[in-house]
Amino acid sequence: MNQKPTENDVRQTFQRKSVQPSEEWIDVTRTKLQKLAIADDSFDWKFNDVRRYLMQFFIPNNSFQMKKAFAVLSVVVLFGGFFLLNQPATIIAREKLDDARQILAQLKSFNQTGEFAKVEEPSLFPTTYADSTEEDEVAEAVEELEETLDEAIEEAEEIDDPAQTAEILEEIDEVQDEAIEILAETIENVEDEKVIETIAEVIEDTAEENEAVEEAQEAAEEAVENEEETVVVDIETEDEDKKGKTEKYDFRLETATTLYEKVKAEIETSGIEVDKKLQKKIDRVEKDIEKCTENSKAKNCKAGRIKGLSRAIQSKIKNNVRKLEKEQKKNKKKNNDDLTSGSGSVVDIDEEDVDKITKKGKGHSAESGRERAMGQDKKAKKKERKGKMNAEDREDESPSDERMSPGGKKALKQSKKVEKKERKETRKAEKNKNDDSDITENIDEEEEHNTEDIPEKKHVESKGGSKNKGNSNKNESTDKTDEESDTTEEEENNTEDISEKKHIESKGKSENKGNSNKNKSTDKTDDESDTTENIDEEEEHNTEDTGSRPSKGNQGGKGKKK
Amino acid sequence: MINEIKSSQDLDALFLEFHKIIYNYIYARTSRREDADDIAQEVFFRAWKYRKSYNAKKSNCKTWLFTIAHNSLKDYYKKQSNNSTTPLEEEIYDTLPGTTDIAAEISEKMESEKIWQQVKGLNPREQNPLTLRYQQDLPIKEISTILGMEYSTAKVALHRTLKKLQQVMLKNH
Repeated sequence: MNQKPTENDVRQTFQRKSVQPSEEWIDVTRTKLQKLAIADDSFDWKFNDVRRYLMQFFIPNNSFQMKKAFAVLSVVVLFGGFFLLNQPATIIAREKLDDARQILAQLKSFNQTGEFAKVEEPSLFPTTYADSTEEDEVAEAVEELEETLDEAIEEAEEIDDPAQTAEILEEIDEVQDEAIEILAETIENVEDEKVIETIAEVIEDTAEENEAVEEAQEAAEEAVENEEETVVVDIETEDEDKKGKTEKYDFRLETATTLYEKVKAEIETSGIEVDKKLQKKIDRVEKDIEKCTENSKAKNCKAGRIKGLSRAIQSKIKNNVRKLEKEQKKNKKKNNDDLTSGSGSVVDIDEEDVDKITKKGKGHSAESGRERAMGQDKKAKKKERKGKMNAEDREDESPSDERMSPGGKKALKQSKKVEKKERKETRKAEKNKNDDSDITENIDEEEEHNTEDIPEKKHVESKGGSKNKGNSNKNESTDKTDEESDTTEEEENNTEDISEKKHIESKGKSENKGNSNKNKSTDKTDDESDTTENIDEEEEHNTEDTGSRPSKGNQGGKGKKK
Repeated sequence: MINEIKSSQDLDALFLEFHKIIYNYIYARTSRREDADDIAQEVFFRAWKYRKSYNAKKSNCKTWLFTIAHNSLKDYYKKQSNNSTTPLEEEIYDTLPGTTDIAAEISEKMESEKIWQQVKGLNPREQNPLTLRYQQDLPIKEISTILGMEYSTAKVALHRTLKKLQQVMLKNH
């Protein structure tokens, strides 16, 4: 071998180094491998056997059958998808209501925990509800609740069948009532001003929507009675610009206390028995007002809470009154039916029953009677208006339109929706324009009128800004022509206007909202004298211009927020 | 030729056919019987475990087994950072064939041992193609498959390693 190893040298070296494995190693390894292979073999056999057995049930071996199976599967998937996408509105509405109920349950438990936390117990780390960061979560939940309820209402609007509509609206009404009650409890338990404001806003909105829902429900029930095929429900849910408005005007102590006073008056006039829960709320409001009167800038002065609770109380009372009215209506109907069938003696018994329900032994007050009478009058007027409108509609429409085809109804619904959208947009635009003019108007008015009217006027204006938006422009022309005479009239009736204004305010939103002939546009363009004059006109139009109602949604007498 | 490994009989046949060359290859790389025993055994266990990956159309059974052996050795080197060598005397006498010309034999052995020592001084990457080529007499194509490299790369690697070995041997002389 030379100094430089060749390939052969290396090969030889490797071959020299090659070794034989020991016999022992060979035997041991062979046995181990055999064992391993046999064990795996048996497992493989079992596994494959089972797999093959199972496979014959699921995937056929034949490729043609495989195609068949895939075709069937895809058809099933397509049907499933179609069903999911075209779920009936009733189901979606119910789902939304379930969601709302869940949020309410959360809030309820939160209220209970809050109350528990507030109990003064010896504790190393005393915590109060106010310290909890959960308040933000409450605000979120409350907002979500409102959204969910709005969605449920929107779904209810999609339903054609009056019976189903009435059913869903009844459910929505129930959930809304529950929501107002729970929110009123929640507002008592939170301390953060922002959260209070949020809850108060939601109470306000829900209460308004609740009224509209109840009226729509009545309309749907009527449609069922009249055996109509479809019913058009048009409930306006919360709008963004309204939110802006409330934020802008904030929760003022004056408006809150005024609202409470109004509610108090309503309680007295309605003659409704105040239960423990309601009394608790009233006490709480009075307590808060007391705190605020001591120092309105103090931290514990929560104007938002006063407003929210007052609105909740008001809603509860209105609900009770409405229930009583319904009962009365039912009883009257029964009586009428009985009279026509010949048994007149039932009348007295039924009235007695109603008395029992309404007064629970207290006896009617003259005011409550008047109130109820007024309510019935209003309803009668409403019906009259409806009748007129229907008659007009019928005149306008060709006889073949009376019984519309489903397609026609859909088109009507769609056109209503478009109308609604347009109205919203115009309102928004007008609002933006008039935000500045409102402020100057307010200042002028303040100068002209007595200083006593200021809070009341603000109340009217703030409402005018947010509520009167739904007005149709039908009276615009008449307002413009009357402008000159308005100013003289205004001077003469200065004192009358003030009293009337107060009257309107005490009537509350419900009456003002319902008017389709409200003169919002004039508020913006005319001077301040028109503002008061318009209110006068409103009352006149309420009784006179009933035939010119533009939409069914407003027939309910409640209009829509916005 | 084994086309597929399905049963214990197939595995046994595989073992009987290839256990010697695999064992030798591993021993050449580790220089320790104990390690060669373990790693060679591990190679056949893995062969059974990954029997489904064997494709007779792609490569022959020998190449497939050497690939497994190569990977097993990689794991072995990972575990053992120090590549220890077996005592020289033991190895020499273990592998000595019976000869008559003792002087010539001794001189050859001495030379072989020198080369072997230089081979052992190479890093494992350089040792791999050398062992497969000169111990197992595998063609470069199969070596490239086992080592997972291109044919040309394997060829160049082999050539360079041999040159390096020659240069080292010259230096030492």
